[in-house]
Amino acid sequence: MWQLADKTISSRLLLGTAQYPSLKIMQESVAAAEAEVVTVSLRRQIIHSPQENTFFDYIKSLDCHLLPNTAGCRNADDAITTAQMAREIFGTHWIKLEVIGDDHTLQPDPFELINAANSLIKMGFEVFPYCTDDFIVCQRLVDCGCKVLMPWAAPIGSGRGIIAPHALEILRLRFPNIILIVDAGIGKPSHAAEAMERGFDAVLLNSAIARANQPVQMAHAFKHAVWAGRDAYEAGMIPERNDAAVSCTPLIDTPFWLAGR
Amino acid sequence: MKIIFNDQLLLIGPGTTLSQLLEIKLNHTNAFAIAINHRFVPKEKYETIFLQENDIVHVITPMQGG
Repeated sequence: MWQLADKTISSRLLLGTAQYPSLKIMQESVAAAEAEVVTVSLRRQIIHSPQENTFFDYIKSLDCHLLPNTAGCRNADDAITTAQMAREIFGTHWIKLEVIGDDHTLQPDPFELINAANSLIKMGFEVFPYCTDDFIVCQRLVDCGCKVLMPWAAPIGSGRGIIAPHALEILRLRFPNIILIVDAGIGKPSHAAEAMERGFDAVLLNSAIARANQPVQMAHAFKHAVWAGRDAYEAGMIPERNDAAVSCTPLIDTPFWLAGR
Repeated sequence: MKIIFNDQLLLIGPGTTLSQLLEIKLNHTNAFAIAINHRFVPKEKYETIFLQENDIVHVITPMQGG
């Protein structure tokens, strides 16, 4: 079990709920991943739509903690308004703060992000800021009260994995008491395992599962990868060596030791 | 008096409250929140907010997100 803000949970895999072939597959994928936190979003109501919004019913049936996001916001004011609406609709003070600065890479705007985080924390929100791996930006977010940071591994949906491992290492080293969650850019279970091996507390992903040929099976794979990576981190991995190889097998009294000379 | 409701022009009578507008326009029981002129309006204020000329009202609902 571990502590994520005010919740004690066991899973270290947080899942997005978008892009699945169907709500049923989304529901099954969340169950297969054994995720306990899922992200949700907001949109303008579609006029003249006769359909009830069944999405929220599916979400409630998951019995997961909800992490609403501010996707689509491009400035602090819009993000703050969205967060307030999310708090009322979803009944949580958690907010995944996204303030996008570039439409091509969906890279966060650090200035607007910090402004929004500062205001939202004063309003009682638990802010989960989606950010880059820039140490100074992360430091500013911590300075304004963020207890969780969610740096990207790579741009959203790119599936490239950790593009700047050293930058993430620095974050882990410099913020030992901050919850660090890799968010975005994860494409394969091995990427998630790598993030966990590097000491990150959790991984948040969406596309890698939702867009897989078999999302439920992929959710299962990611569950194992996250656990494997965490177990490896806790077990303590051997350091890499650049010099000569070292035999694994003890060579004392090896049979025929002298025979090859 | 004209307002914009969910991106559509709407004519309403003067003195209409947000609560009265929603009673007419929302025919579902989905969860929702309201923004007027891009500012959040908490539920407890619906009955005391009188809509003004050119107000922009958005109804916001849950959706999938990553």
